[in-house]
Amino acid sequence: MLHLTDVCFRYRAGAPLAVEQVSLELKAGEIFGLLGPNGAGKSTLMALISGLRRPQQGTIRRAPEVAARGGFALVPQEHAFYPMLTCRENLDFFGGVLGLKGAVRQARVDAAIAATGLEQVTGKRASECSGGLKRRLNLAIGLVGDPRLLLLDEPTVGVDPQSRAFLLDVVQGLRKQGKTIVYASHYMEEVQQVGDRVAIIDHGRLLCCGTLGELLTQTQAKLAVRVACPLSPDLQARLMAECGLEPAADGQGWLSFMVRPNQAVEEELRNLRQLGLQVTSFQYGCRHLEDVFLKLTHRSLRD
Amino acid sequence: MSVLLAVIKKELRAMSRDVHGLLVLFAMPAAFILIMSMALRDTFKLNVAEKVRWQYWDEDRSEASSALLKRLPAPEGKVVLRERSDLDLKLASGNLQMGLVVENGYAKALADADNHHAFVTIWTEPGTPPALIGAFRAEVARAVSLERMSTLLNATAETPEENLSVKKLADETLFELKFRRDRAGLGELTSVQQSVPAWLVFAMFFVVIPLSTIFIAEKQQGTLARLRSLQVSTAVLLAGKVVPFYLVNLVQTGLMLAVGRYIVPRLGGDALQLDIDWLALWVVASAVSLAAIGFALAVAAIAKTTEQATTVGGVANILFGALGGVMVPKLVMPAAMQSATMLSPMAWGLTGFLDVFVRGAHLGGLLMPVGLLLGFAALCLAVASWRIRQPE
Repeated sequence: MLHLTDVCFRYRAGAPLAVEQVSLELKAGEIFGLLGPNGAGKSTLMALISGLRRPQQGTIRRAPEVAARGGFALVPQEHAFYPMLTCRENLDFFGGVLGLKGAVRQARVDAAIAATGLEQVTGKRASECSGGLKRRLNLAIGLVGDPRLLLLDEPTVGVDPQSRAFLLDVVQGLRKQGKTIVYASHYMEEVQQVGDRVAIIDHGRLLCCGTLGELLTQTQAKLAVRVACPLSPDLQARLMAECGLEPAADGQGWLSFMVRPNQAVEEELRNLRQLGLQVTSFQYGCRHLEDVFLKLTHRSLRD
Repeated sequence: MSVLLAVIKKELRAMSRDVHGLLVLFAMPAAFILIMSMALRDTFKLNVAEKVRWQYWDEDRSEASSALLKRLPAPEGKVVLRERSDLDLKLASGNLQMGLVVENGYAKALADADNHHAFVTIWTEPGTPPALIGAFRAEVARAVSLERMSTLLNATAETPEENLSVKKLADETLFELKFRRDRAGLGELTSVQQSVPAWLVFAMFFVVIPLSTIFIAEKQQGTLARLRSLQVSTAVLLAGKVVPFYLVNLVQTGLMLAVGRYIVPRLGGDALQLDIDWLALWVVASAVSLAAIGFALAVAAIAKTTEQATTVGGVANILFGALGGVMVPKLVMPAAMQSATMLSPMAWGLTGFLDVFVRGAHLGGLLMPVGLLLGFAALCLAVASWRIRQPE
């Protein structure tokens, strides 16, 4: 459906690469989650995929049904519609721009309204809609052309939890209709919830790509222990000196360690006991994308 | 074609809901036409001396002084002078623009061939326009000269019959100049004939404000990028702006003509003369419109923010207007400034309109202003088209 090979892009000569050597392949009918902090290169990558920008290196190949007019739709993170027009007028306009006419256009507009639950506000000016409704309208405009590929760039930014849940339901409903979706967000819980496959992007580079399960298992696992009493500075120093461990406290009583390569968990726990730590409970492995992100970038998504 | 129609329909719909933008485009030039037509009314009058508010004080009280006063335009009847000092007071208060004092000894001086002092003094209110002072002074000089000639010739007459024929001779000595405009049947150049084209051109160029506001909002809100991602061509994007604003400019033209024709006369001004070549008017209006829209699109495409566009566009319009003879009529400018006006695209438009309204031009006579305007429009549209194709 979409194939990117070694795609590079920089905004101006001498500037750092905004997208660097990105290769990925999109399969028909999947939701591809693109996770990264603000400024990571998600929107630039979307602009490259949608043809708004051209890569300076590498190739982007689109399947014929995607390359055709209306074959894909970009839903930008801005409210990309006309505030002075009503919701229906906006949808009707974008239908017209896609070359749709008469009854077909009417039907597509109605379908987009139904899919995004905008029935009650079709006659309302877009400027007068709430933030959540604006997000729905933004998405609905993307659906008017009945595209095979949808590029959703931060589709839930600035909405309340209820609207976010609604939008995520809509996205999952679109998967059932066979749409292929690229879902770019810096909200890892959203990407984790809807993405069949996930890629993590930072500083323009794809750090990893795979199913959620693959990502959680292929990264170096984390050991978290809860101890009976707080660590003294002396003990903390010994931990670092003798075990080479770098404990990180999360403020809730858990001390986290990255398990060293080729080291068994039992061995690590034994080392801790020998140092005088009374471990009352422990957790092992990456359970969230946040852990994966932290492991790959050494910083939080929201830094 | 259907894509273009969709874009035009959207633009007209959005525009119709922007009340403030419409006010700028229609109410502002209409108000300017009304104000400037009334303000400049007397500047364009040929017999301005008749419009002067003046009064006299006759200290000579002679037959000769009465004859002189009869030769002058009618004085201001509402202002009565009871003594000489009243004249100063009325001038100081602005009730009078001009005062004429016929001094004691006027009649004697008139008859004395060796005397060259007229014994007549003109007083003026400080705010009186120089053109008005000059015109009134010429009227007084003419009247005094006639009286002087009549008196001196009269002295040579020996019988009452001779006296009468001398008076007649004196009156007939004054040549009557025939005054004819280049175009037969055309009325005088009035202030409304100047103001309507001038402020119409200004208003048409003012589309830079609403057009750039809409366009930059589209850039910032991502709608332009969205349209481009839907493979809407640059030509359609530009035509989608040009056509609706061209229609707006045509409506402006009709409305401003109506203001000049029907509203200005109701306020005491002259009516706009419309015995013109309408095809020529449409061609000039279209050329001005395309130049104005092209300029607005170039500004909107280059500017990054609405503030930038409205500031640059607004200031450029005012400079174009000041230089191009919109705010100050070109005919009152010195020769060097009159040449400099041609640097402003508004001057080309104004020249075209004045050619149609005042000189009765037809299509053949409009090649220069229309050519310049269309060239300017093409250049601006090329800049806008190039800039729009560049990713932000």
